[in-house]
Amino acid sequence: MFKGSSADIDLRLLKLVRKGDENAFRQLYESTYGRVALYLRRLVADEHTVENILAETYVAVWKGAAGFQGKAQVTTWIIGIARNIAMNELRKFKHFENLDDHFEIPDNSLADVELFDRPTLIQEALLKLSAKHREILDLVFFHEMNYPEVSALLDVPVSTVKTRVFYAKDALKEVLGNMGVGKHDL
Amino acid sequence: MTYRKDELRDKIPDYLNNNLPEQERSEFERSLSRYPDVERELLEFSKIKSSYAPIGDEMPSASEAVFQRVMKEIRAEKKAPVVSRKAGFFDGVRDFFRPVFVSSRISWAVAGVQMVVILILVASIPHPDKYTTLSSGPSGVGRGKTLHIVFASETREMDIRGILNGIEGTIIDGPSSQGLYTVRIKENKDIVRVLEELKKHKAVRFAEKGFDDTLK
Repeated sequence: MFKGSSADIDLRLLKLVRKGDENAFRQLYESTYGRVALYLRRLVADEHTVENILAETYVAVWKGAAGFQGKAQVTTWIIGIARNIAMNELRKFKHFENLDDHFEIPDNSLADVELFDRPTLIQEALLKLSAKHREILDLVFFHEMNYPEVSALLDVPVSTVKTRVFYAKDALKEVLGNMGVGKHDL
Repeated sequence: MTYRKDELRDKIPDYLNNNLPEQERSEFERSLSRYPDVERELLEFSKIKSSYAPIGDEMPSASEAVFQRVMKEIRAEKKAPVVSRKAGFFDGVRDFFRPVFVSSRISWAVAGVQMVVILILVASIPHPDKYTTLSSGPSGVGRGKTLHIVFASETREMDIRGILNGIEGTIIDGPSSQGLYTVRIKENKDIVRVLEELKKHKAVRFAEKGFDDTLK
């Protein structure tokens, strides 16, 4: 078993995958699956589609391991592959999650809201954001990517990433307000 | 060193994700007190970040089913025969010339070689040291003297043969579109006499020395 940070281990595994090492590929799959799957689940509504995208993503990882240039962490690179495949799927089937259909918050939800703790409320509000805003907050604060990494992943300038993060926060405050939570409670 | 307001805002994610070096982190915290609005934004983002903690705890474990699908596809592609067809003659020719079409450098080299060949061919064309006319044609070829004769249009072939036999002449060219015959007579024949004899015949409209003989 390798020693070192998770990112270092992934990199070493990927180097073995380049040589066709199936055991290393399994370890890399197990090491990165959770983050990639979570990213996709918050982007695509249908679980079956998520699994298809995951399978396609890891086949692409196996085939494209030699093309990894080391500009970002291995997990970021894999999420980038998954995102591209997901976007193609979304263009085909329009599977973008419409969470308003799933989470109908009643108008007098203030009482219910009080039953939840703040992190749960924020997560519910996040799920009501547009996919674009939710994605940027997920990437920065959950996947802990820095601005240049997000910029490379989304193929937008760093300045756009910065702006989008702050717009997303404002949008989140707005949603929380609509849910009966004071905007200033964020 | 203290950070400007915009620098401070840009560093909020790195600060919350613990990606700032210790010195920058201290500097960030020190600068924060100067900008209460940035401090408030930091607090908001920190609440957003905290909200992700439960999600991290629910990280999905790797699906064996998906992995098996992936491996099945990878192995199937490994086993898939490489489709290829036998290269034919034209494939060989095409492959041979492909660099010419792909590389502009080679194309220019080929054009240069063609130009050199053309110049060599032009330079090697023989330049005759005397002019020839259309009437001279092949009449000067072979031994003997040549005559140009035009017979009347109604003259029969049999009569033409008779006249030519009389001078022991041989048709070497003609008749042209104007009815001109080029006739060779023996070297030892007196051409002036032959011409006089020819001109006696009513069937002969024109009889003169051949062009080459005129020059002699």
